[in-house]
Amino acid sequence: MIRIFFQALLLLLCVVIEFGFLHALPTPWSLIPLCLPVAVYFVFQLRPALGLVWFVGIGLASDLHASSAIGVTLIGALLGCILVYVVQQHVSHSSLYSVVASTGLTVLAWGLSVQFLQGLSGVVTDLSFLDQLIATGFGMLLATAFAFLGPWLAKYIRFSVRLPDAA
Amino acid sequence: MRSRSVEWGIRFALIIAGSLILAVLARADIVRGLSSTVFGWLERPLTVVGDGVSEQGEVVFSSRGELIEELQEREQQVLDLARTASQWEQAQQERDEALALLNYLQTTTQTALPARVRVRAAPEDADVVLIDKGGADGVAIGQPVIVGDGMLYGIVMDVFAQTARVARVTDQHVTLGARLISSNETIGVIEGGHGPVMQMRFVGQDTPVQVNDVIVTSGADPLVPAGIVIGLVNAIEEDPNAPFLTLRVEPLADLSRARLVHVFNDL
Repeated sequence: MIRIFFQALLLLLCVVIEFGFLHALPTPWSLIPLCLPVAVYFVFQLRPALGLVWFVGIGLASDLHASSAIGVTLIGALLGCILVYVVQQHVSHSSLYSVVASTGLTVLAWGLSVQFLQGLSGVVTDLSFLDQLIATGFGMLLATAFAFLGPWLAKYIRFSVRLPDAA
Repeated sequence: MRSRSVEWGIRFALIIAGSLILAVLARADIVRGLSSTVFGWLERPLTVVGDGVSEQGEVVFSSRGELIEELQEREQQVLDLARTASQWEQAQQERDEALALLNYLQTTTQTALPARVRVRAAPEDADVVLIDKGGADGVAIGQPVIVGDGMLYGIVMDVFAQTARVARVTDQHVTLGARLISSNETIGVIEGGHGPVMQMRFVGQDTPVQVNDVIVTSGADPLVPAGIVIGLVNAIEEDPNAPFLTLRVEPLADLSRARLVHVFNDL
């Protein structure tokens, strides 16, 4: 239970940082996708359920922050399902390159699909394709950082924080 | 193998269905209100920090080219604003002048021709201006030009087809019969050419004049009606050996700033 609580807290923290702090920065820094690389990282860590929750959570947060004509939650769920399926069925091992490439593709697909569906419903956004590529680049950089720091951080937490069910 | 695919399909369908429910719920007013309160409370400090970083760190976040471009854009904006402010101020002044003239013209039987001051005085001809009405509009030499609440601005000196030159009351070419506002007869002659003030000569020693008395036109000149305000007595030069007083008269019209004038042209 406490693990779920911590995971929810981590998701909320990342959402708050992304939507509160990063989006207040000037372009291109406001395009940094913080949450998506984390979600992809969890999927590649063989924790697909957690990764899916993150995908849906990010979509839900987007829906709650802006009045989009279509539910970004659905896009999140769809992309999450596809990623989990691909990773579980077709990726034999989670190399750094596969994590980075998957993150890049996920961020690009997320941004383009949201923009495309918003365009279909008459909502015009001022993001160009170049902006989407910049966001993708940021996502890949973050994925690289998580791939390097993630195991070390998890190990540190495991040794530092003794959770009740782990005792 | 088939059961595994079916299992995946069922999982995905359940997840999509759950997401759909969440997406619909996210549109509910109560959920949106609650979430905006919670997220607003949580994100406000971070947004403030982000905005601060964005404002203070503009130099860090922008390239040199962007900064130069933005600087040029800002400079252009300043120029545009200055131009707009200048035009606005000019329009405001013209409006005030027009309203004052309108008020004056409503109280007089004279008809007047509105005109704009187009060209300011040249250095060698400091008290002469060009107005945008001329002979074609009925302007004639010697006609008085007024501003504001009926203050004498000057006298038409030269007339061209579409324009006319006006000598302001402080110009050396201006000579007018004048009187005190309280009397009905000409008491002296107003002359320009004495700097920013006029000189009123041939005023009898026994004339009851005091500083700050109002001087108006007397109507002695054929084209200048009586009663147009010229100015205030600024100083009285009294020479016991001379038969006349000399008065320094300060014009009441704002000669340097007036842009809209009226020419009395139906006398």
